[in-house]
Amino acid sequence: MEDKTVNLLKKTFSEYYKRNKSRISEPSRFTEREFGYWPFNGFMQRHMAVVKFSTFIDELILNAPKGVYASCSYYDDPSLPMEEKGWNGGDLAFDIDCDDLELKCKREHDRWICRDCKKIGIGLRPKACTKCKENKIIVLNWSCVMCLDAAKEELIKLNDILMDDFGINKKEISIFFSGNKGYHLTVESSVYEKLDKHERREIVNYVLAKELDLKYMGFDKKTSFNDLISRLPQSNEPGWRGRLIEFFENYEDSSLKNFNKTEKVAKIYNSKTIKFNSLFEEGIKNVRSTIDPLVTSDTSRIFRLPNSLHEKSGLCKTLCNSIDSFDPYTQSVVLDDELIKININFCPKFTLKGISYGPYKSQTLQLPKYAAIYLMSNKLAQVA
Amino acid sequence: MITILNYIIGEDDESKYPFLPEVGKQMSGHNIQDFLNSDLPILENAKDRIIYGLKNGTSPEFNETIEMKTIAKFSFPIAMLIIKSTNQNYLISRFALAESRRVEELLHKENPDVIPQIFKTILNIQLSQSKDVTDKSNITSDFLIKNRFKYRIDLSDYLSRSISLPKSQWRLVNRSVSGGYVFITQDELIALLREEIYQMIRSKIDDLKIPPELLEEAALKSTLEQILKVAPRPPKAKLRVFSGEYPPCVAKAIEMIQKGDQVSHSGKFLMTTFLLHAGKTVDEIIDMYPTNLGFNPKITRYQVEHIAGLKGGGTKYEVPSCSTMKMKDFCYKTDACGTIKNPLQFNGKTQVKKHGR
Repeated sequence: MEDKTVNLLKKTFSEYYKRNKSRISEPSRFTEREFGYWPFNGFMQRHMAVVKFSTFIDELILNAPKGVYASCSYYDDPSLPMEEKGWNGGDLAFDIDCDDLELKCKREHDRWICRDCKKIGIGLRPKACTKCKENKIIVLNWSCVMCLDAAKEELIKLNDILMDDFGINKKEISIFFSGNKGYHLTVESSVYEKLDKHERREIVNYVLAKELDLKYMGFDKKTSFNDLISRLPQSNEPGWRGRLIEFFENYEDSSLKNFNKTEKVAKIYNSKTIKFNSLFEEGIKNVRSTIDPLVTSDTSRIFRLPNSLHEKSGLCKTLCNSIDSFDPYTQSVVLDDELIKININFCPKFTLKGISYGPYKSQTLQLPKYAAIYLMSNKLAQVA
Repeated sequence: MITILNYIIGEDDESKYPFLPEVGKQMSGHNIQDFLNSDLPILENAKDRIIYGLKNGTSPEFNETIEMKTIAKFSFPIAMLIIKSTNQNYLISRFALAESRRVEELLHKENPDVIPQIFKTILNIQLSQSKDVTDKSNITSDFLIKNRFKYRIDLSDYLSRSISLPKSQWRLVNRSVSGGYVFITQDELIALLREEIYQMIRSKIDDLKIPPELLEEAALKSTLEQILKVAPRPPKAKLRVFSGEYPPCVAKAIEMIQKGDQVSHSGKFLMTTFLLHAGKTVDEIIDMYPTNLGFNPKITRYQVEHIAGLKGGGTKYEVPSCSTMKMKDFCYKTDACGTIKNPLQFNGKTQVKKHGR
């Protein structure tokens, strides 16, 4: 990235923290958390303890980092090296990233660029450049409204699992737009704060329905049809048993019209024409929540600080009070609309604050600061 | 009598579960000598209890007379004193195992009203009968009856216990979970808490402090001699542990396992992951668990194979870090450890690969 562009980003981030000092509220139990930040030029600074939160914000204004983080874990002394901190528990944290969702729209808006011949291709990264055959490829993982809507669906499923299955109170759950490609959900002050990373991995596997075994749902090829019917769960049963049976009950096939719900599931299981295992996999994908498995079980991870700016978008990590009506491309746009002249290499169409921009290719334009920073953060433009 | 919630623990329960706090309270008003020299054959019964347990791996059945219930109730703490006096870990482990098996057998047949109270008292586990939730939630009685789910246990209590059980049956994803509870049958509950019952009895013995003058008591001395005469001998360790080769925490886990000491799940997990990394085979590791100290070879094999990634989801587990072992209270750091962050780095032999992104 050019110096001029980096300087503008730094200046913009610094001004944001200066103007929004009161907006960035201290996390609960902040003296027990580890803080960190990542300067635009330099390495990640970690293992910081914060005694006075306003002093930490002053440091952000001064250093204008590209990312600001706080741990989900609570420690005796957050400033010590990891093994000496004295872990006392931590929020249960989940990350949903639209890049993990294998969405069809990625084939339309993602780009790859060959560093050698500068060819720009649409869709997923090829093994080698289709023009010069070199393997020096940069990938642009773009995200669109559909991507974030899909992430929101996963988030809603996660929220339901946490409340229904794990009995977590709504008041203990905080949901944030991450500032770029998805959502963060944290559970604070719950009975689960003392779970170690192995126990958190069990929670992850539960949410992902990983290692779900059909035999514990009553499915067994050795039993008679009537036995199978008596063994199968009902759709009103708790947990995965109920959810998956409901999925099968809702499966539409003309040959199954005359059967009651349980008979229908048993028929699907014994069918020679319906591929049960594929349908089971589809059912799991349908009812599980696709979370990042590494984030939840990693108790030493630091998470982006709420209301801080995301270095890959210039958008803000924003609390979602109402997830259904939350619009990430409006409510997380916090930079002003002062016009900035930039050279745009290329970019797909995008929408911020309800205004559509692009697509652009090799153009010099004046755009509002929030849109200009969005493109520069994505490394698609430079200060003109 | 001790009243817990809506169930009253009575004389019957005290004789079946003599580790309940009420038995201790009843004893606190007396000298140990009162029990050793009692008109009731308490000492004789304690001796029989120990010998039977050491030989057969469980305790003898007591008849149902009131007198026998009292004897059985007080012979347990006396038996703990005697077995502790042997100062032999192997015998202490075998006795604790025999007593825990006796408790297990009783619990399988126990009245569901009693079980939550027992576990709340001895292990501080949040457990209730699942029938109590049907009014408030969408849990139907059909669901509970069909699956024989008599109990529901707090999810965090469940996780901390099930994590060490390797079978896919225990994975949370394969359980019925609702409202922060895991539904469970009576047999499953006892299997889930099996190791903890053993460890509870074992800790009670370990925590006992025997006054030196008691060891001079003639009746106790003679009983001790009779027990030692017939007690089985410890098995020979199949693998020699060379000090210095393993980091102190791993060496400690190996030593404890082979001596028959109680080892936490974290200790066993550490030992297994470390030895797998050090190139030991699954069979070599299983051979290190003495089968006559209550380690079921089938369960041990499954657990070791699970950790090695040969069973379950195929995850090969990493050796836990020093900070994790410290947190799990299984760090035996010496100067030789220096500033290592993972037991694998001991002696600077192995580099630890960093994961994550």
